[in-house]
Amino acid sequence: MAAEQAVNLVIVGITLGAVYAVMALGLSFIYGITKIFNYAHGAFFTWGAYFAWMLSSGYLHLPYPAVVVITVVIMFFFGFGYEKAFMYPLRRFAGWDITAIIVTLGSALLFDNLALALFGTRAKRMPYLVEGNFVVGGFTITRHEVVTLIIGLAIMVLLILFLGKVRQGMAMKGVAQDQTGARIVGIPINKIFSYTFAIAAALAGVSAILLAPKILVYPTVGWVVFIKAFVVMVFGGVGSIKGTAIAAFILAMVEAFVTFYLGGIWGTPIFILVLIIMLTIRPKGLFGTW
Amino acid sequence: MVVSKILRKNAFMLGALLVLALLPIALRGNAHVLNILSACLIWGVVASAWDLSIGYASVWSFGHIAFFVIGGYTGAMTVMYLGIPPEAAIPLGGVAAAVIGILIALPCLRLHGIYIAMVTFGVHLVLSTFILRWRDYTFGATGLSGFERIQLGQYVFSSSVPFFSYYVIFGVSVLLLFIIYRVINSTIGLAFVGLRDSEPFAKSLGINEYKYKLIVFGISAFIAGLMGALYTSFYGTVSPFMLEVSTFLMVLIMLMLGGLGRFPGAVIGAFVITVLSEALRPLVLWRFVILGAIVITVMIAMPQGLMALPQTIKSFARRVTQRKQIKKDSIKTSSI
Amino acid sequence: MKILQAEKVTKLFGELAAVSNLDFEVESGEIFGIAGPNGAGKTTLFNLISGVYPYTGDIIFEGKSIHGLRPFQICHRGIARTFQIPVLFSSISVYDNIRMGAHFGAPKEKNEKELIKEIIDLVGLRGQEETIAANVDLFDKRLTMLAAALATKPRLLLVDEPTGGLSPKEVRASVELFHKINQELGVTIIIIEHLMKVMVEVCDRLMILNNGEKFCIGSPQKVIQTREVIDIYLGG
Ligand SMILES: Nc1ncnc2c1ncn2[C@@H]1O[C@H](COP(=O)(O)OP(=O)(O)OP(=O)(O)O)[C@@H](O)[C@H]1O
Ligand SMILES: [Mg+2]
Repeated sequence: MAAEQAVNLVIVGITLGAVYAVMALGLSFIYGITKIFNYAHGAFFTWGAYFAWMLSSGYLHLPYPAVVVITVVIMFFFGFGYEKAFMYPLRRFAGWDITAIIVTLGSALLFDNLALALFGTRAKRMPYLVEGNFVVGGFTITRHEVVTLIIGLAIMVLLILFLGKVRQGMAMKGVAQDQTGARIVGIPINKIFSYTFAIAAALAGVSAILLAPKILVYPTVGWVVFIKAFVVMVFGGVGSIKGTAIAAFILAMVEAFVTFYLGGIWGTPIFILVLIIMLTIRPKGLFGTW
Repeated sequence: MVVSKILRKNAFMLGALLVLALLPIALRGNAHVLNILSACLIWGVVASAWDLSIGYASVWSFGHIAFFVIGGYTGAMTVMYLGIPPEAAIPLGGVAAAVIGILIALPCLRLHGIYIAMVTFGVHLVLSTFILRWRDYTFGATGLSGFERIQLGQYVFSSSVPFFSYYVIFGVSVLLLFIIYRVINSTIGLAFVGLRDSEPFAKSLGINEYKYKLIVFGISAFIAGLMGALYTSFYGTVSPFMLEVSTFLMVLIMLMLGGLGRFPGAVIGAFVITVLSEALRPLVLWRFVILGAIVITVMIAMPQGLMALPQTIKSFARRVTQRKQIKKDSIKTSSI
Repeated sequence: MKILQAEKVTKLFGELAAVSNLDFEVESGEIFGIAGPNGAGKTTLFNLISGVYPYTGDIIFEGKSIHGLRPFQICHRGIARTFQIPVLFSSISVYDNIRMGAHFGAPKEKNEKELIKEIIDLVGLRGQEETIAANVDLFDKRLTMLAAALATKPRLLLVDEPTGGLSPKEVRASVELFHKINQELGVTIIIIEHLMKVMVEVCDRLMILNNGEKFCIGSPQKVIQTREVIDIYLGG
């Protein structure tokens, strides 16, 4: 294989990795902190993509920075409202963790089909964040990929700072480690839960904006990204930002090469295979902490 | 005397059986309604088999619709390509699903909760890839149809012969539900409940958790696969369309609505959801939106499912009277 | 005769040595006590004996190593245990809880019902058989757990803090029960307990653990008068 091709695949892998990392961090955030596994996270992605589409090529044709900001804000409130309306009321009863599984699944059914009813099955095309290419020493990189990588890395840095330096972030970490203990020292658990979902939904929105231009938008687009994000989360270890990032880059790279050699349909099967192998050898993941 | 005791203990189930056995006669062969009833029974059995895994053994398999589809394809393909008589192909669908189920159980032996759920759900998502890939045999997204059906004298087992077909489905369903019921009340069922309620304790009392995980995957996948083959034969077609996430969610929701680990709750859930879904059919695309909303509302209002309705009402009444003593911010500890 | 021998048993949780290079032996027929401050590694030691975690070193039961066996295999070898926090099968009856042990843990025998009945009488749960386990009080939960363990017909029984949260009367009853199990059934017992009063009454020998290490071992009366043991407890 030509060196150029290999480099291109690596670049594809790296940018894809940034997107998966952002998505997986949201999933891992929710699971690590609230112990709820959010089966509607794929639907969050889908809706993030549709919001971005409506704001850009769908209806409003806003400039891209505005699209990004507005989508993220909408998704933040979407996640917040979702937790307040669907998750909070469940916690009245013992065994709410089981009910939460069903409610997140039911929400996925609702959101997926709402998208189907409103937008139809026809896939929507999203424009790139920025058009054009960089040409560096004979290699071509799309500007979209560069921006994707920058945004992905920036989000990881921001999250690390948030959890390590900001009071609310530290409280979240406390809840992740010990819910009962956190309550005893006066951390407002319900508020933390809501903000956790809000941040995670915003992250799903960001990954949707970054990925949607490359894969089109349709009502069940989120499921495939969701399962990949789950594999990334397990591979990296729940609660480890570093682990999630490394896992995302490794897996995305594998996907880029598998897709190139075997075809796009093998992308998901390879993730499942990795998942099974990882869980058999090291269920905690590379850097599991929570 | 013993007989009367058994009758009294199972009055509800026996009454329901009697109604289901006589209903078609009362309906005078109303084809549409009969086919809906048949669908209710099929999904009732699938959901109950699934409940064996999730509700009783607490093994969160999300692979049961995949098992159902594997059974369906096995049934159709063995008839089409191997010339196996259709009535033999149906149990073969169960066998194929059980074999795959046990293979999937192997990497799941040491896993719990969402990890099992995601491995098995991954298999669900991947199955369509394989079906599409081997389109020479599976006809890809179009799926298979036109294969030979079960025939008994002048009667063909098909949704266009509803009266006869209903009784076939009724017979198979009752038999399988009886098997599920027997499993639940056997020492295998006891081991499932032991591992569900307290795995460390169960293991310390001599229960080999790997063995029972394999058993639960095997039995429940067998039943799901057999029903898949029956379903395929009944409708005369099978396609990857069955793997749509909404099918998966609908059956899971039947199970949850009926109440986990509360046989025959899953059957009741299946009847309610199937009928509801049928009633909402005129809404076309909005049907699943409404169903999703209903599920969420029901789970928020009644988290234990329909089978626990009497208890839920009682404890609600108690809570209203003790309102003051309840702390608002109470979060109970969780396991999944 | 030795029923259990631990040789250089070590368990690390990351950096923390919860059990560290531990050697001790338990005589067949005795009641062997283990005490020590919170976090000393007592429960962890039980988890190692009963096969919950992997570890280094070796544990020999009745002359054969049980290292690397899974919990259900260790049960079948003849070791049963209870848990510090009662972990019953809460959705089924007390009777079925005990049946779980009799059916899956005991060597196959025709008279499962007889066995269960005897044990129910021995521990004093008669009248509670049909109650759902979630609904019995703490003492009966402990008794149910103990009865299920006994139903596996063990030769060695591990009991983890059986008196925590019980009334003085219930503590008395427990002490008597342990003597009965030891003498009538001939079961060797290892007991973890914080109450020194109980230890003095039931144990033949007492081992003090501290930071995962064996601190001392001997007759309970002597051990609890050792200056350093008192220091460990007071100093934490
Ligand atoms: N699964 C585990 N993972 C990590 N650390 C553990 C685990 N189990 C126990 N520990 C640690 O090992 C040490 C010993 O714990 P252990 O439960 O054995 O103490 P103990 O002597 O039984 O104390 P107590 O009297 O409070 O019951 C403690 O520091 C505990 O935090
Ligand atoms: Mg302890």
